[in-house]
Amino acid sequence: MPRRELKNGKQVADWLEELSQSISQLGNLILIGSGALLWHAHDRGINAELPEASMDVDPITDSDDVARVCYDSLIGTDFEREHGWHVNLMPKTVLNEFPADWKSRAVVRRVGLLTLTVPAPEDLLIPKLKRNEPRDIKHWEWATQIGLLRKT
Amino acid sequence: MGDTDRPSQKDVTMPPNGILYQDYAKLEYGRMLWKHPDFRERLLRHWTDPRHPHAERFQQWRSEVEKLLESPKGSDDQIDAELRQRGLSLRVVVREIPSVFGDFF
Repeated sequence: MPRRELKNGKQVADWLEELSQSISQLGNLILIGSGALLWHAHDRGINAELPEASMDVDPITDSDDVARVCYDSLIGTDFEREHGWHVNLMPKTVLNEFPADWKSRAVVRRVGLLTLTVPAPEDLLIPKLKRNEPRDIKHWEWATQIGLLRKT
Repeated sequence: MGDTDRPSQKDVTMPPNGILYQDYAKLEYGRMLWKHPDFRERLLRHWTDPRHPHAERFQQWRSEVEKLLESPKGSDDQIDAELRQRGLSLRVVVREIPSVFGDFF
């Protein structure tokens, strides 16, 4: 039985793998939000569950193929019924919330036909902390505790 | 970034065009997929479905919404200026792009 919420990075990695197998041509995806923090944790072999679990992942894409697949994973779809969370497509303009040089710190990976770009945890947390909601603060504390952030 | 240097709220920004990100996503991805006839038909079928809570409202705004989704990426300023001559704005029309409800999309 799948988890009914988005709490660990393997769920995100599995979704990206699944998505990469659903597209028929090369595509790009930038992952932001708490799903991206979870992805970083999983990528670094950190098995830590996100406090205040998320109900969605926030991708940005310029690829028609990827966007189509994401539409079939929106709230209310079979995807959501199966996974317990959904996909929430975000516009490219949301990247303006990050520092201008975020790309220089981002992690870029190839997952099948998909080129995945994930901004660094430090950058992912900036819009969250601008919002400053209790849940966002908890995510910052979590990222700090599990060592996702670079020490300055 | 260390434990004690959490960014403050001082840098809070709004989307540059004043349109909420969730609303602008409907335009960005609607535009992207509108050019594919099969997807365009799928959206229109969904938005005119009697189960869609905004189906009636979409009928009132359909012409403006379709024109907007047909417009090229990068034409926002021009479209906004044209809409303003008619007492509308990009922000107003973007909000009239119906949402997609996955349970019957």
